[in-house]
Amino acid sequence: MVLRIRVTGALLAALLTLAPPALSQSDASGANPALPVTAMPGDASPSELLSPDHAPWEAIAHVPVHLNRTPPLYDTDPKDDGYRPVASMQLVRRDSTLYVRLSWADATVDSIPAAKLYADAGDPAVYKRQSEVIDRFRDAACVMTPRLPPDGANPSLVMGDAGRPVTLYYWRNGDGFTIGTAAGRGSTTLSETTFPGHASHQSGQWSVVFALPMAAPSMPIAIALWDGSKEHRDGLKYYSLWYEVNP
Amino acid sequence: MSQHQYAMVMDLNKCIGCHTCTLACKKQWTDGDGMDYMYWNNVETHPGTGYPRGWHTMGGGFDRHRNLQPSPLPGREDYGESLEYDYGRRLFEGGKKPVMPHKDAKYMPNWDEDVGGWDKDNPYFFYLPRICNHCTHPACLEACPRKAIYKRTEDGIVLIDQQRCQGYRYCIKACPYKKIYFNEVTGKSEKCIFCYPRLEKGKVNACAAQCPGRIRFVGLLDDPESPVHKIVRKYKVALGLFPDRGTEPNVYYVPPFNPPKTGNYGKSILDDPRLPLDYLKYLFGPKVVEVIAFLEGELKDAQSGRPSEILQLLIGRDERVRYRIVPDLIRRDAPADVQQRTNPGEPAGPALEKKGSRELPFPGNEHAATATPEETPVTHAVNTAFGLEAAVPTASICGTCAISKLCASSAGDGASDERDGGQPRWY
Repeated sequence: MVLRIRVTGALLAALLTLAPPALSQSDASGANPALPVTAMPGDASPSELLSPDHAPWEAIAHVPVHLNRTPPLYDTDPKDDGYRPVASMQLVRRDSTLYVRLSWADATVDSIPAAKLYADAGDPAVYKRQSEVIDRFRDAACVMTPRLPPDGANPSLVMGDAGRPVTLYYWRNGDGFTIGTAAGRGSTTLSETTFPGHASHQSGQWSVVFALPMAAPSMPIAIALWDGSKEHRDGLKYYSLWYEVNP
Repeated sequence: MSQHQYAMVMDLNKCIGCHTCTLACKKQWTDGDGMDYMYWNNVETHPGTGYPRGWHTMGGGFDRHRNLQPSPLPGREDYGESLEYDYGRRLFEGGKKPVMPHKDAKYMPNWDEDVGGWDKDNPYFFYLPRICNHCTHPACLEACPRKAIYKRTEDGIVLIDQQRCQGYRYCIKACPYKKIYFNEVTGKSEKCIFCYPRLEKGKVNACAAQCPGRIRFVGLLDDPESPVHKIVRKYKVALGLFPDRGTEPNVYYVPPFNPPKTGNYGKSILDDPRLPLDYLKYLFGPKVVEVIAFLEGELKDAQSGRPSEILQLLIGRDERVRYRIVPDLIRRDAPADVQQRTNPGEPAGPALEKKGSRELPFPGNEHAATATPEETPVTHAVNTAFGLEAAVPTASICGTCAISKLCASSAGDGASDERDGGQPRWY
C-alpha cells in the first residue's frame, strides 16, 4: 500500500531548505506535492504493525519532519539551547486505521516512576514506598488531527481553536496512550480513553507507533515531541506544521 | 480580589517547636500515596536551611515590575528522606534491638533543627511554622498555564483544581515560599487548603486547633471583630514573610524578640537583641524594627500595671479569643453558586475529590463535649497520659480523637481510616 502526504507550500519550503517551521502556518490550499511512501511488504498483522521494532517497518519510506521549538512562554523558562530535532515519520494505512511511526533521537529516557504501595510483613498500610522523582518530566509525543471536516483552513497549531477543535493522540512515557481534545491553548482535556500504540527506546532513539482511526480519504496531521530532560511540558515542546495524509 | 480574606497570625514568641501542627496536618490531609514527603504545614528552625532545603534563597515571586522571577525546581533530596522505625517489633513483639531508622539519612526535614546561629556566647534560634500563605497576589496562580489554580472569591483561599492540573510545576517554581508539592502518583501538584472544609463547618484549621502553644490566630482580615484584624490591621504587630517577593502573603507572624538576651538587663531589645535584627529584617522586612519597638513598649506598660489590649490578645487564653470562624457571614456575602451549596462540608471544588466522603478525623465539637473547653485532643491526650490533669471519663472521649494513640484513655481505639478497612493504624 502506498500512502501519499500532501504538504503545504510552507512545509514544502521547510523541507527543501531544511529550515524548521515557524509557529504560524498558512491555509492548506497551497501546493500539495505527494511524497510517496513504500507499502508495508507482506501481510503484517495489526500487532506487528504496532511494534515499532517490527522488521518490515524498515522498508517503509521515511519522511523527515523538521520541528521547531515553541517560543518561551515565561521569562522563567529554561533557555533555548538551539537544538531542532528532525523526526522520521512513516505511515501505513490498514482499512480505516492509520499507523503512524515516529522516531527521533533522544539520549535519555525520562519518566516519572509512580510510587506504589508495597507489602511489608503483611501490613501494606504501614510502609509506603517513598516518592522518588518530583523534579523531572516525561518524554512524550503527540499526533494532532482536526475534529471537524476540513473547511479550507487548518486548525491553529496551538492546540486548535474555538471553531476548529482538535483531537490529540498522546503518548507519555510511563502513562501510555490516551486521547485528548483541545480547542485552543490551555483547553487540553485528556480523557481516560486509550488507543493502540507502542513505544520503544533503543540506541538513543525513541520509536513510537500510533494507531489512529482514519475513515476519511485524507486527513491533516501535525506532531509534537517533548524532551523530559529539557523540562519540556505544556507548550514547551518541539512541533511540526500540518501535513496532509492522502493515501 | 476576594470578598473576604481568611488569614492566620502566628506568634513566634510562643512557638515551642513541638511539630504538633505538622502532625495534625499530616494526619488530616497528607497521608495518601505520593504525599509521603509533603508537609503542607512544617516547622523549621531559623536561621536555617528550611524545608525544602534553601527555599528562601531559591527565588520565585515577583520583581517590582510584577514579572515572575526564576527559580529552580526543588528535587526530592531537597525535601529530605523519610525514615521508617519498626516500633512494632521492638515494643509489641519482644524484639530486643533498639528502634532504629531503616537506613542512614543524609538529609531530612529539620536536619538542622535547633542549630540556629551563634554570636559570641549567645546561641540563638527560633521556630518558624509555615503553611501556604494564600497570597493576595499568588505567583503560583499567575504562573499556571492551565488556570488550574484559583483564589476563592468568598474567602480568598487559594486552591488547585485537581482536574485541570497537569503537573507542569510552573507553580512550584513561581511560589517564593515553595509551598506547593508535586505528587508523583497522581501526577498533579498539591498544597495546603487552609482546611476550608473545616472552616465551612465553623471549625478552625487543624494546625491551629492542635497547637499546644496557642500561637495561632485565625479569622477574616476584613472582619473588625476578628483577632487577625486586630493584630494585623489595628495594632500592626504581625508581618508577612518576605514582603519583597510581591505576593502579599496572608499568613502573618508576630516577630520573635523574647526572651531577651542573657545579661542584657536594663537594655532595650533593639539595642542588644538576642536575634540579629538583620536576619529578622531579611525575613520580615524593615518594619520588623517598628513592631519590636512597639511590643517592647507594650511589655513595659504591662509590667507597670497598665492594661495592654494587644498583649492580652496575643496571650490567646481561649478559642473565642484566638479564632473567629464565620461561615454564615461568608455564605451570606458569597456569589450565588456558593450560597447554594447545601452541605457545608461538601468539597467546594475538585481539590478534594480524591478524598471522597472521608470523615474528618478531627472532630473538634464532639471532643469538646467531654474535654474541657481549653483542651484540644492533643493536650487532652498528653495531659491524661502524664497525669497532669484529672482524667476525664474514658469511653466517650477519644473514639474519634485524631492522635488517640497518645491517649491513655483510648488505648486500643486507634484512629482508623476508610482506606484501611477501618483497621487501627499504628505509626
